[in-house]
Amino acid sequence: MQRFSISGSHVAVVRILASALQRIRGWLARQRRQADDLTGCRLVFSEKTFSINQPIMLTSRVDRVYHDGIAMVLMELKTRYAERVYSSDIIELSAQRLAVSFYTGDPANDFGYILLQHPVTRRRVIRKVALLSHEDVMSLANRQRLLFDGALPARHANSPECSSRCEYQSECRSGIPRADFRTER
Amino acid sequence: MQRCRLPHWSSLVLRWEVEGHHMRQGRNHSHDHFRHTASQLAEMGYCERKMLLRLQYGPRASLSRLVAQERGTTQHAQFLAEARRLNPRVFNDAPMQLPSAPAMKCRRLRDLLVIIVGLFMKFGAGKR
Repeated sequence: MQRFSISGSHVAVVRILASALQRIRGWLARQRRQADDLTGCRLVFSEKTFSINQPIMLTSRVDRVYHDGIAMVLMELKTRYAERVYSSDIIELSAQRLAVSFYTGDPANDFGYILLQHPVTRRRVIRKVALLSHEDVMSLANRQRLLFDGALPARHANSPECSSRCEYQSECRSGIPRADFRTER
Repeated sequence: MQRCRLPHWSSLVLRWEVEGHHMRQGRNHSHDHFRHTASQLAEMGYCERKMLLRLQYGPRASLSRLVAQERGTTQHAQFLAEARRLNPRVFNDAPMQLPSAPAMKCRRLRDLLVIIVGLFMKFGAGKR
């Protein structure tokens, strides 16, 4: 009867198999990670704050900025149950684009990506959105300044669902008292 | 010993005090020195009145919203960790750190409890 013995060739085969298994696991992990990554783009910034003084004084923190060799692309992570993109997401990403493009001097694409992540299952979905122009963002900023100065009346939320969940319902119904809100310089 | 972090009540209060101080002083809202933030601009897309009321009365958030905010912060820290794995030389200025494994387990348990309590309050005994 032939006796079983562990020879050097057996050890080598096991090592090769373990190495192959490790490579396959690494490849699968990379594939999972790259599911939300933009193919062919280089990740340039992540969780970085940009602050500009011209054309408006603006501070924003971007989640990710990629560069495709021609222009930058912005990505924003949102954790929510519904796989929906709201107008506030587009405004935020557009303001970030303004800050990044004026800070770095590099052009940025007029589209961006919203990465929606489910809070429980952590499933990720990417939505490509068209961003507002720089002029639109600046006009929004001007409107906000006028709102703070009380020169314009503030608008309600478009959706009644937003109003029903609002924490300021009682004050909103009674109106905003402007006397103690504004201060004279 | 690692402890489970509670929501940042203190940071919310601090933000309210700082913003309220600027509001009262009129400093942040003069036409010459008005600094916008992207998140403030984004609030305009949601509800302009809420943006003003939040600055006037301070931030208000329910427990579930605070939990969601903290969950979002954790997800962003994980997102940053993934970015560092993708490109170790990525530029960032975030001192974000992932919470420890026991803290993450505590948070998942708490999130589950919040979901169960929320479902019970929505479809529970009060709706009969």
